Amino acid sequence: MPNIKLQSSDEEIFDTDIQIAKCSGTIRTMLEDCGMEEDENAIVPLPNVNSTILRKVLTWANYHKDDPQPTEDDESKEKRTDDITSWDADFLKVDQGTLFELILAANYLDIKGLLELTCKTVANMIKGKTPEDIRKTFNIKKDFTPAEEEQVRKENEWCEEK
Amino acid sequence: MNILDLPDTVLMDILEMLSYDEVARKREVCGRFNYICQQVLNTGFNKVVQEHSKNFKRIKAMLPRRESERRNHILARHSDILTSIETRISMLTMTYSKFIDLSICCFIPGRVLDEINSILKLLVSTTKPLRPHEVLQELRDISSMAIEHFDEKIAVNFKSSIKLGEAGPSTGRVVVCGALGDISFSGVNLKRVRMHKVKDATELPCVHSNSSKVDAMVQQAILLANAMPPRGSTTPVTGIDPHRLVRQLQRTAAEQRKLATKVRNLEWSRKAQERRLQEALGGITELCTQVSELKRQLEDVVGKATSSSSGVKRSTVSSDCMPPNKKPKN
Repeated sequence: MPNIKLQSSDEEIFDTDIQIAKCSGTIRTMLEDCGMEEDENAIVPLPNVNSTILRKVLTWANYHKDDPQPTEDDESKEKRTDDITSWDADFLKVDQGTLFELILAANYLDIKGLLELTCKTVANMIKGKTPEDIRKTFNIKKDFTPAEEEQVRKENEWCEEK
Repeated sequence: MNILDLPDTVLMDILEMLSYDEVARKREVCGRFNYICQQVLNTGFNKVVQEHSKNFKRIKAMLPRRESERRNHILARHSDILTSIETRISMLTMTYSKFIDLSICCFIPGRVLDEINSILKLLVSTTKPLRPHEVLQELRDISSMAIEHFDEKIAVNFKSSIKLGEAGPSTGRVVVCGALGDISFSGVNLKRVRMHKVKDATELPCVHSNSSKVDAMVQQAILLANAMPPRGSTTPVTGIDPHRLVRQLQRTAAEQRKLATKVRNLEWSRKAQERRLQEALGGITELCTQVSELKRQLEDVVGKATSSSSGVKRSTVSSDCMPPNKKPKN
């Protein structure tokens, strides 16, 4: 299997199986559009991903290389966040900063499976929590003016049973 | 790195994973969350509308062309339910879309979206005849709750903010769009024709919708009129008295202002009427569904009754003969 060289933002080179690298839509397009596939020594620069994150991404891609391609039909897809496999769950036992950087990398590299997985993980961190809990979990400052907060609260009041 | 450093699209992806009811509640976290959740709710509403029409098309395509056959078709109830949902969607559109277009609020009731989605999913998953009344009960309840609350508690405050908005030079046009946006639901075609007529009229109050602008125009016209005579003397129309011209201008301006308010009032009452009409229409379709449902239930009951009438008779007779189980208390 031919390899390809990926270069992270801190200029580390990752010699990667082309098949694995191609799970990224961005890399796939680059290779196909620029005709880099034939060139053995071509280096693909990835200026938005550092080596720590790229290593994680490639680990994930390597484990999931035989997954079926995700279908485009996401309209009918059910909203569920409880279908994360145990390998993936272990893989994502990282601190929040790393998790968000993984999301950014998956978004930039256009890796649908990884983006969905990481988004689900964050969604699970949000799910069922009160606004106050969420602010604590993610270290968010409440930047509402009292009037704004009151407005939102009032708008959401409609479904409270009397 | 903080969650708020993620781009909008990613945050929307994340919140899309939650139920719309939860999304609505997460608006209270912070300003950014509020903004993102509003976007998710608005696109959620659009998605529901699309999903509904897709389903409706699919069911309609499966029903026979003849109405008499259609009524007894196995999917007749599906079609009834989808019609009722359509009515609900129109009512929701009328309530919220104007304010969404003006971006002074979002599609607030996320739970309504969840409920419509779950009904649509049920319709896809089964071809068994459903009971429309039971299936739609929750949707009817919560969508009415949402609309009533919005009209009584929320929209009242928006009216003043719209008026404030009109003071700006560009917003006048947006108001027209908002007003026209009301027809965006797939309702009565007749209304569309009427709207076009109104459109010509609404252009007037929009340009002169606030008096300060009109005054400014009058001032300008007066200045112009004062500036006219020296140049005007060379033209054939020398006999015009500038003061008369000014008076005339002021009169026309006042008249125009009066007309503008009249047109605006007409516009409001027309909207109110339209709304009442739509609500009545909604009521009618819902009643129709209920009637057909009741009819079917009645048929069921009659069918059962005739098939077991002999058995029923015997049991009544025997129960008459039986001694009473309990003695009445004194």
